[in-house]
Amino acid sequence: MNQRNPGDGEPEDPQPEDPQPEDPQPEDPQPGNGIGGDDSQEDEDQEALQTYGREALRFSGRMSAPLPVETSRNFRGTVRQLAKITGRETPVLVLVMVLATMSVSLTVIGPWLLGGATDIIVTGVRQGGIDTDRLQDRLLVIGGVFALAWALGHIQNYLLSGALQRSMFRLRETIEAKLHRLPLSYVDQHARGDLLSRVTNDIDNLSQSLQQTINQMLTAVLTLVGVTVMMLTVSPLLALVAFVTVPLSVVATRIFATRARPRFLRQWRTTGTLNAQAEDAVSGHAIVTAFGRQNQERQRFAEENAKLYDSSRAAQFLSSAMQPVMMLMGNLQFVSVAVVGGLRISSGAITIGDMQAMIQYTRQFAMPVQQVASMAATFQSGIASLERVVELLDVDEISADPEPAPDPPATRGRECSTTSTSPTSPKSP
Amino acid sequence: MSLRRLLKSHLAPHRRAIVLVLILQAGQTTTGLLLPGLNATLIDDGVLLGDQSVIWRMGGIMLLVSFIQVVLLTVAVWYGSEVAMAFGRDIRRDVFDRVTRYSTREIGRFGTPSLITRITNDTHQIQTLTALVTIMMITAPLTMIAGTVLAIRTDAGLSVLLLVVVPLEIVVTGAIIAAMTPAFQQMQERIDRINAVLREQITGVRVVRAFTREPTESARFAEANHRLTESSLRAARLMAAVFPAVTLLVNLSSVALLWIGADRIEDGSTQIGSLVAYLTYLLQILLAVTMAAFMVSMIPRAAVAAERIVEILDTESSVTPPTTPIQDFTRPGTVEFQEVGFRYPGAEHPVLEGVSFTAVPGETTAIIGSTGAGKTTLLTLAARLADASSGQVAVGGIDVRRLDPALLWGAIGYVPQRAYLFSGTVASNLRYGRPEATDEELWEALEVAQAAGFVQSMPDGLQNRIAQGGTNVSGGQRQRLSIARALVAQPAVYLFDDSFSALDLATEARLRQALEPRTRDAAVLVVAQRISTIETADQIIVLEGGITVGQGRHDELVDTCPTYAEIVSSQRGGETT
Repeated sequence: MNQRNPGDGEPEDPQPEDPQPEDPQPEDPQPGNGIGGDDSQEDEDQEALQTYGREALRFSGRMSAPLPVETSRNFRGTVRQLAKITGRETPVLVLVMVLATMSVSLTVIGPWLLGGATDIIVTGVRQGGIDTDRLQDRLLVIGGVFALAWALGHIQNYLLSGALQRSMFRLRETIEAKLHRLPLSYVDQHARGDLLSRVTNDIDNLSQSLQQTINQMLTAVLTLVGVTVMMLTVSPLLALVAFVTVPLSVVATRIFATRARPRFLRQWRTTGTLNAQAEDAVSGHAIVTAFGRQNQERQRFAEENAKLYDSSRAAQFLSSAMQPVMMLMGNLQFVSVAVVGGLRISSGAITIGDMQAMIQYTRQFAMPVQQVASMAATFQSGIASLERVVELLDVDEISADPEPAPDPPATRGRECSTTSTSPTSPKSP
Repeated sequence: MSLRRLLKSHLAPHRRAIVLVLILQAGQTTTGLLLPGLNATLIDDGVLLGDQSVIWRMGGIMLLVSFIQVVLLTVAVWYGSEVAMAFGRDIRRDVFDRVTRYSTREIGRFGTPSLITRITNDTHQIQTLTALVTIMMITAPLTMIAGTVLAIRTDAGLSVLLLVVVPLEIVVTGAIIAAMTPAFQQMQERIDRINAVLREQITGVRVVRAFTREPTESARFAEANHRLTESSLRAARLMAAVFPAVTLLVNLSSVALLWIGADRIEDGSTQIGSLVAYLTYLLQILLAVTMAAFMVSMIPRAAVAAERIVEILDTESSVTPPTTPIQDFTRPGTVEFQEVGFRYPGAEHPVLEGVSFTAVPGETTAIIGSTGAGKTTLLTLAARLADASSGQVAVGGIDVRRLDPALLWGAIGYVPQRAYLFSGTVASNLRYGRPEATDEELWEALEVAQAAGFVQSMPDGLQNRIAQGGTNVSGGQRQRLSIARALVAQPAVYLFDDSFSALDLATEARLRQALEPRTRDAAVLVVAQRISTIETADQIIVLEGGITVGQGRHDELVDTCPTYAEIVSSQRGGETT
């Protein structure tokens, strides 16, 4: 099942590094490595530095504060990256939009047409006989509309999955190319487990969540627009009554979404730290065992694991809690349409068919919102992963010098010279 | 099935919370489904009879029901999140615990990268699925059951339609899922493959750069990437087909409902309100099925992950602690091998066979032989990183299998062939075996290991940062720090596995000289390649293919052991020319 080569645990022999005697600052200062800029945070946790790696700290230290400014900057970069990897699919995406619009339009006029059919029945009952021919014609038309909506929707989904998968292909390609251009100092100074987590777990999570969400979100948003238009057309009064709940849910969504996002980011960062620790304990297994340190390793892991549990649970609840909020909105709409609609039918202002259509619309209105809400969890988790991938893509590269030169090139020597991180003792070979 | 077993074993502690979630979700779904029924009464008794008080009253009840549903759902989501995440946490903990108990044998069997993926990524997969199940998927069967019951109660005559549509729905989605399962499985395998390639590129980054292997690596990656995209696409397209198909079914059944309903209303057996309620039930039941289909599509991935986790939990370590551990050494600082053999299960040839020797305090036992002769295995047996298949290994006079592991490992100072340093600082690495060691003791150990010089010149000295695996110091420095780490622990038995290989002869000579006073009361086992390292040893064991072909002092072996003489002449020849 799992065909990894067990022998590739470590680079066999790190080449003897040439001393760089003139290099006064062989270690840490890493001005341009994307995840810099949080050095101040590190001071808080000096103690933990003894036991955890500094990488681990970098992440955990950063987690302690929400850092809204920084994350929002990342967020913009992330959106840009998302646009970049999907850029080449623009023609397909435009076609997808057109098809989706057509398909959704046909779907949303359905309840209105069905309401008309109900009215034929109601009128027929009141007048002593249903006009079966008219009803049949009507129902056949409705069936045709639905079938066409399906066909268009199917093609749309087909095309969209292709575009998404191709985009993920390109993102993976980009990150692989990036790996070859990362300064060795970056690789050295960042826990390998965390780096691996970014290129495997995060990419994997991203493509999974995009695949699951984008399509549904697109349809959901269009349906929302279509249903709104239809509701206003069928009965402006009932529509307004139903929409009273919308601002409420927008506010609620906002609150939950903004709180969930940093927690997801934190969840993935803790995952990175945990990954790094697992890597340490497993790669150094012989030492851990021969020095009798299994218990300490287990305890350290348990602590980090508990942190991961806390952040995951919070993120999961906050993102899932949008669901009940949306449900409340849907229910309130349903009730208000039923009551106000009932009263208006009595006064003869609208028909039963209209009310039926409006009830279906409120369900259809609540549904995409609920869908978006439930997808939001997955989507946010994916975006958090994308942010981590973008951080990696933003790392300054080694110069485009084609030589694999172990001697530090003059250009951008800063990163390169840090590859010989250790000042070599004069005595050493 | 592994997934089921894992769920069973690891959800058991959360049974109460799960039952609670189930009850809450059932209550939530049922209350939600009461709304269309109440609305039917509102239409039939209020609207059609023109009774406004009924409209208001029913409206009030519906409002109340709505709030109850939302409260129930919120609480269900809270506990659902908790259960799912605790489940993931527990699995992760157990997998990690198990791995730390493994012997080198099991570690080698699974491979380090694979073990790490299992601890992190695989548990995450399962955790995600559990969250989806407890928070959403569970409502699908509940909605189907409650919806069908309520629909039949509202109007039994119309439920003929349900009998046709619901099975049809299940068949359609079932067929798509059946097609999707192998597609997802294949996708998972290809994800593994691509991750393996990336892993190799990162861990071997220096080798790749040094040999300009980037084009080869990129080509390898591109192929894996293509194959992954191909199978993801297949899976994604199947999945994309579900939603439009289900929508079509819902819509067509609504049309059919009106057609059947018209007749029944005409003959008075069905009321208008029921017809409207039915449309809503139909919509909700079928939506639930779609939701379920969507969630089920995640199961194959989780099943693969579960299998890999269960594989770890099912693998017992071949090294188990004794039931009544012995707490004292009878002859501290000695190592005795009696007819020791080691073989991997199913392997044709043993790695070691019939090895016997005794190492006493203050003496050095050197082990020499070609690659694959069993030298490293011999040392790992002394440290009980694995257990001998035959014979007996005793440390301090007691069989290692009967010793308290803490006592044994406290007495061993192990310097592995591949010096591994942990992420942290120089000091945290040195104190690994004895956290209470003072700075002076660290410096002493560094002096002996010929490492004081370069540690002093590091900007932060003892507090200088060490990257994971020790990749930010050179191979020779890593070796010397690794030796110092063993010295700090003040063991009674030293195991040096080719630990001087990256040092030049002069440094090595100084190191060995400094080592001598420190090892006066300890047995020293040295695996070496160089004759110069071992010629002064008190006892030399020459291994070939796992068998002792010579045992004695340098002078004796030169004359009596052809294998040894050959090694000597090849190296001496090389040195003189």
